[in-house]
Amino acid sequence: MSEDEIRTRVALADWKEHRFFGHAVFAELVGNTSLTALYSLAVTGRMPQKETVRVLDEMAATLTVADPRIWPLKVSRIAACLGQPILGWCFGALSQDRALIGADVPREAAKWLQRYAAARAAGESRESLLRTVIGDRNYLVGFGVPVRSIDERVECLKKRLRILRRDDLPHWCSFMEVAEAIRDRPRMVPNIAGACAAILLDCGYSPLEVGNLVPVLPQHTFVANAVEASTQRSHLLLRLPLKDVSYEGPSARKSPLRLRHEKGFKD
Amino acid sequence: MSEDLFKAVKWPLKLPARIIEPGKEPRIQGYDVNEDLARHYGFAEVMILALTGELPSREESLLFERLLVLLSPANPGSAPTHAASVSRLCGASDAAIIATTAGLLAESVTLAEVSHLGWEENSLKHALSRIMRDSGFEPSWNDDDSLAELISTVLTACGLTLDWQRTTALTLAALPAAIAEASSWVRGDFKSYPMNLPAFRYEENEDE
Repeated sequence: MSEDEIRTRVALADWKEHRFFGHAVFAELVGNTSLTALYSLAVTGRMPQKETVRVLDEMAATLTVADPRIWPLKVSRIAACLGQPILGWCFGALSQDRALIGADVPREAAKWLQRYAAARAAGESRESLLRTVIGDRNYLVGFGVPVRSIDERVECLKKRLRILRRDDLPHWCSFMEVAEAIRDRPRMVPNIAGACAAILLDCGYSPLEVGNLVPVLPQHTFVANAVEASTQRSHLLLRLPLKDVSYEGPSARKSPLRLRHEKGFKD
Repeated sequence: MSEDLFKAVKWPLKLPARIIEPGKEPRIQGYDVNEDLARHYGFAEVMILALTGELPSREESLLFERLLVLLSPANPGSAPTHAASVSRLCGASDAAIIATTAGLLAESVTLAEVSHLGWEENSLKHALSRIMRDSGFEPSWNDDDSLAELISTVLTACGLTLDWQRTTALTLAALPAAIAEASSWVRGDFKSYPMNLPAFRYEENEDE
């Protein structure tokens, strides 16, 4: 390969047909592939198994928590109130860049969970691993839920995994094992990022792929808020009334130049 | 074997650059940045040069500098600053905060409503009249002209007549203070944010 070229496996545009990760778009993908399968292919370069696609669809549906007050969705809402839905979904997505609620979280959860499950399979004890993974801290990525005492999406996924007969797979079992071991610690409730990490590891995704795939699955929640906000164009989001803004910054003061000017010195 | 669609057309071999000449002695619109612009001109003047292709007169540069200062206070409750503040709360990166603020400011000013500003309208109108006179221009507007029209007149006096030039100037004016406002939020401090402002009421479609 010449150093003036970039190698890509993603796609090639042709006159009558296009290629996407080695697949003919019209001849192979159309009529045979769902949206979540395409997302998985986009992130990994591999066509997922049908069972994996079912899992992805159920995760995407479970992640349909689209209340406009949820902070990244609020960003979407505010951005789109200016009239363009694309601003809503772009800036809503951007609010997750290296954020507390974004790709980093499921990826980091997947990393320690993968190491934990492998060590358990190799015979290391739960107690020893827990000391390594969490020690005495009251924080572990994949645990912790704002505002409420349980993550209802995790409870939903628990039931779905039982129905799909995927609740006995190694990473999910490890995640539940850790959750049980630390459930008496404050705020250490399993959250959706950790649950998604475990489920996707059991589907064969790497931690990096987990981090890239999880943020894509709830995009419909951003789209819904962006579309509605762009239609409503609410004046309340365009600009909050002044009475709803409370100034807490530095007190009123005068600059040195202003003081000189007021004393009669020429600038 | 697929035939590459894009290789079938003859394309230019190089990326043309028309404003910025990069290199050991970079230039903007033909002027040496180091030996010329940085020695003899301020940032506001270089902004006008970049946007219009010509350096401003002394009066134009004074007026523009004062206009940028007047238009620097973005309203904390306006969409660009508010969205960036919530992004910060979510822990988004500095790049994300800056992009959100800049992108939404640019969108706000193109709406010609200047809703992003932290001014009471009449106060700003008086201030705009003052800077015009102080800079050697006579304000040529009527009392019932809108704020957006007044700002447009001042920008024209500064030499900025095209929409994208005006959007850039107004966006850059408000950008630093708006970013600072957004960045003043503490990452993850969700309890400090007024969740129900504004209030939302969920309604289901009765026809479903």
